[in-house]
Amino acid sequence: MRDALLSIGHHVGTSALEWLDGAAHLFAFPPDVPVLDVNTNRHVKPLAEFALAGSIAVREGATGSRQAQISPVLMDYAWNALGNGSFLHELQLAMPVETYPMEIYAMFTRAGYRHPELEVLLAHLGRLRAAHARELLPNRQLALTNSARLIGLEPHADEAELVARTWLGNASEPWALDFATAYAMTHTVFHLSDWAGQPERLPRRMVDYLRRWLPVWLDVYREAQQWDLVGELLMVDLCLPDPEFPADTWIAYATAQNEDGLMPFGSEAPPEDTEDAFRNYYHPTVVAAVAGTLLVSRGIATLTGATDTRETVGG
Amino acid sequence: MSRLDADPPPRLSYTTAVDALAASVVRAFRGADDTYRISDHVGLLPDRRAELAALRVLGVDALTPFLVRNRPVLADDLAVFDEVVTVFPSDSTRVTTSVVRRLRHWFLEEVLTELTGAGKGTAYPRSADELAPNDGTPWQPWSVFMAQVSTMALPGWVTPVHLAASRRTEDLARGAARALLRGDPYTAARLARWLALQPDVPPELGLAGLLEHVDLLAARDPRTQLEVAVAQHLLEVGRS
Repeated sequence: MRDALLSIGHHVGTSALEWLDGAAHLFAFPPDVPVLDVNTNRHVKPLAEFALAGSIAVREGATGSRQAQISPVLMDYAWNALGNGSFLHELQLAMPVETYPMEIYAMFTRAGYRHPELEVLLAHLGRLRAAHARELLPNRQLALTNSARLIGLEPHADEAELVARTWLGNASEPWALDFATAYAMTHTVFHLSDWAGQPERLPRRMVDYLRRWLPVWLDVYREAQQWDLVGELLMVDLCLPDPEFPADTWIAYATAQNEDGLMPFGSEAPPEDTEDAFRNYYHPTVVAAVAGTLLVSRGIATLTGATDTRETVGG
Repeated sequence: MSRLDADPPPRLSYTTAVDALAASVVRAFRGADDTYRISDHVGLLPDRRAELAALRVLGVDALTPFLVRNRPVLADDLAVFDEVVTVFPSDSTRVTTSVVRRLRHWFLEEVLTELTGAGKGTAYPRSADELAPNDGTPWQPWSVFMAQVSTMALPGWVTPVHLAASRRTEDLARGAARALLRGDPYTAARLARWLALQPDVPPELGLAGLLEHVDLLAARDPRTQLEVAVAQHLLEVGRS
């Protein structure tokens, strides 16, 4: 079953990256928007997600030749769209407490891109009292501590304290969950483990909790055909030190994906035209790209760890 | 003749009778009714058949005030069941009868035998052993099955079903959380009743809080409240 799962991961991830590649022009900032008029949710978030998918694919490296081919191209494209980082620098200068510039920049550092001036600015802002009194939910603050770690800056807060204030860190009643809280829960895991890059950073108690309750949420949201969230929950599994790789859910998830790589959000069929589909479907497709990539890399790691016969794995 | 004059359809009057009986069991648990009598529930409604059907549907659950709340049982209360099984005979011998019905019927007979002190009871149905979900059944269908036989979730019994419940506490808890998230408080309550018997409930589930929550959700559903009342009582007894 592992081999079949690897090919599912490969297909889900590669076709999603191909869709993102084809839609790349839609992620770019409109060039005529002045920095102060930039709407972070509208203009910045899509590109941040785009860069996330590319950076994880670059980090995980040889998860397939097609992926290895596309992901650096995507990152180059996004970095260029950001003026090789200078747009992030301008944005951060204009909006000193805005967090997106640092979060997006961190993704590029993951793939080896650097902008020294921006780093000087980020270090300065990090020394302000304002940086230690952010009006943000604890799971969002974990995005910042992870970003700081990736860039090589001092995190603004103690992660253990932040975790203790999250829904997940409190080992909350697993039935006291709604859609928004489920997303918050998944992101607590993503930021703490740097998107499965460091599973060992998850506290033991959290791992035990997730092992027990993740199957429940996967079951419920799969039945409800909430594919965006199912993709995120499958990623949570891949962030654990010893993933379960739930085959049934992976098969259902892969089956929900369009042939062109687009992943539907829920049970409603997406529009056929890429431009029409972009706004509502780029997110589930980014999730599919990351989830598929991680399934392959963590699957291979598990196989090699278990058998230590590297030669047989690629075949 | 206007439609309003027509007799209600039997399903409706059966539901009303089941709810009335369940509400009365709940009162017996929650202290407002010291004189719980099964015999009081027969001959009250114009439709005697519906009242007997209610006893058939609730089965052992109608006896729980005597079994776990220690309300005194009278011969009249048990005699009613002779009429129940005559009007609604068991179909346990039929091949098509579900394992859930077989088990519920067997359990009712066992409990009546115990309460009347007549004889030794009958052996656990072998067909149930063969047909019931087993340890290889995934937690979702297994927990749904366990919810369907929640009437057996009483202390002091050792059957394959009770043993499975104690072996798979985590799966009961998963089933309860799943049911609540799927908007099915009744199933959640029935699984919580099994959990109330187990010493190793995952603490994160927050069983007492879950029961309170289900109780509030099901304020208008006596059958769910019955499961909650039994579970809360078991939990309290287990703690003391």
